Amino acid sequence: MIAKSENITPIALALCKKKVIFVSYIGMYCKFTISLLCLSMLWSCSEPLQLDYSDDAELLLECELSTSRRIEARLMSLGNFNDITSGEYIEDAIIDLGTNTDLALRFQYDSRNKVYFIPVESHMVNPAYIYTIKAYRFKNDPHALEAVTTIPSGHKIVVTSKPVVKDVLNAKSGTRKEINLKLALPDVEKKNGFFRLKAYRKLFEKQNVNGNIVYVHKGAVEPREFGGNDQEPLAFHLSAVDGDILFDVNRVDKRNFDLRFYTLGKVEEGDHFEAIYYVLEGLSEATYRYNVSKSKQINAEVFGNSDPVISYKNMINGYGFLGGSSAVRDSILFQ
Amino acid sequence: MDNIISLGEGEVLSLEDGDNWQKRIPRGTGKSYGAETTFNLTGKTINFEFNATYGNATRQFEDLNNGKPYLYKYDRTFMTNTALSLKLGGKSEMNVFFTYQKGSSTSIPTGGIFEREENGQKYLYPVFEGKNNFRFPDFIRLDAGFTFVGTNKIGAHKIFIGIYNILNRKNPVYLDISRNNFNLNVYEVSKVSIFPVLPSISYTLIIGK
Repeated sequence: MIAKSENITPIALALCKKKVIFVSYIGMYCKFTISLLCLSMLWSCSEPLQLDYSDDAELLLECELSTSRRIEARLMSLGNFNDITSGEYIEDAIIDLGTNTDLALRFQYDSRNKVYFIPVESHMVNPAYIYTIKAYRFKNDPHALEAVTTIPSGHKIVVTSKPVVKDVLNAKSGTRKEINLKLALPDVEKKNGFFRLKAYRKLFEKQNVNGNIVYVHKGAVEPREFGGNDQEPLAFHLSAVDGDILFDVNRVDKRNFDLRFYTLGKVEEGDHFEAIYYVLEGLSEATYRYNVSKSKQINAEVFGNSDPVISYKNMINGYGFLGGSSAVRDSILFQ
Repeated sequence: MDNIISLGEGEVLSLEDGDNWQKRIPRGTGKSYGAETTFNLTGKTINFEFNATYGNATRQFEDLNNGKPYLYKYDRTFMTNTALSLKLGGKSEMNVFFTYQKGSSTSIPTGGIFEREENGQKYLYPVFEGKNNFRFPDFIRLDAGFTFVGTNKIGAHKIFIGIYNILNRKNPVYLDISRNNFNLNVYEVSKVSIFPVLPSISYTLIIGK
């Protein structure tokens, strides 16, 4: 083996020497050409791409028909791609709301809040109707915005087992109370699985009044901090718009699913009584998807380089949505 | 295809999720189908090959694109490759290659929704009408070259002189969506391409027989 290596070494050295000689003989012109060729391989080219966008401003209409709130609609023009700030509120449009019984209501404009509205005394949203909205800027407008929705029914939450309350340590806020709830929405039909949950807190103080133990409400109402669901976290979305929880109950077991909330403070000896007050709104799919996409858009601004958020729309000839919601208020009390 | 994963819209994975981070990755389904065909002609002086592919690839995620199916970003729908090799005498050969591919897809915004106004500053977010709602321009490229072959005592020598992308077509590799440097309210979409018309030369030495 050693003898073989000794034989190879002089040949290899000779080849190396030849290479060195060859390289040194390359003229300056040749070197320049090779360098230029190498550089041209790395050359990239950037040029504007012509996109065909309509010069007419597209309109966006947002309207959520709620059984518990005044009927309101927001109409604006969309910012053009070449000047996204060009979007503005449209104040001179005509917006009509119709139902399958041909009841047509015209919105009025509230210039202070820049919203269109139907006075409460005129009409309350009725889950039995199918609603149609139409917004246009002049009579026989061929580009009138139009959408249809139904109003889902409201549901009460059923607590399936006793809530578990314990102290947990959090890096940001120190020790806090964690409340684990096991809940159910058993009567929900598959097509109506979309909900918005607003949970808040009231604390009660145990007092002895003339020998009787009573619980007296103390302090201000504060929102519950949502802790999510471990089984299917993507089924629940904490809205960046208003802190509500948007969820699709069809993605979890609707007869038994977990929800976790946090509150400030520890579990204390005198803390005998607590309540989670909630407003649960059954949402139409349009309301759910529009609000989730809007919330994700706001989050995207915070996160920066994330995948783009696709805007939801069910409006014909424009953007935005017409959706419905039905609210149910109740509380979960536990000791 | 089941249990396909993708990046979530408008969010990033956080270490705060702990062991639960895997459940925060959107899961969905995909469909792909297509057909391929090849035509080959071989003669004494000519070698011709043509192949064409038609395909369609879509994805559907509950958490992406509002639950609607969308085109997969590498869906090219239609592509063809044509290669011609022509012998010009005993020691030289001409090669021509042509490819046409339908552009792949990407998402681009179509406008901005006014969200709020604070201290005279407008806050907006861009509107994306659909995931992968925009097709890149078609990818077209023509290459040609000559190969000269010779032999001597050392071995076989092969010199290739060719031109890559003769049409000098600026096929975009990716789109750059950014704000104008002078007016931040204006979005600009630029297509970025590499490898314009590119002459090439290569020498191959095969030592021995």
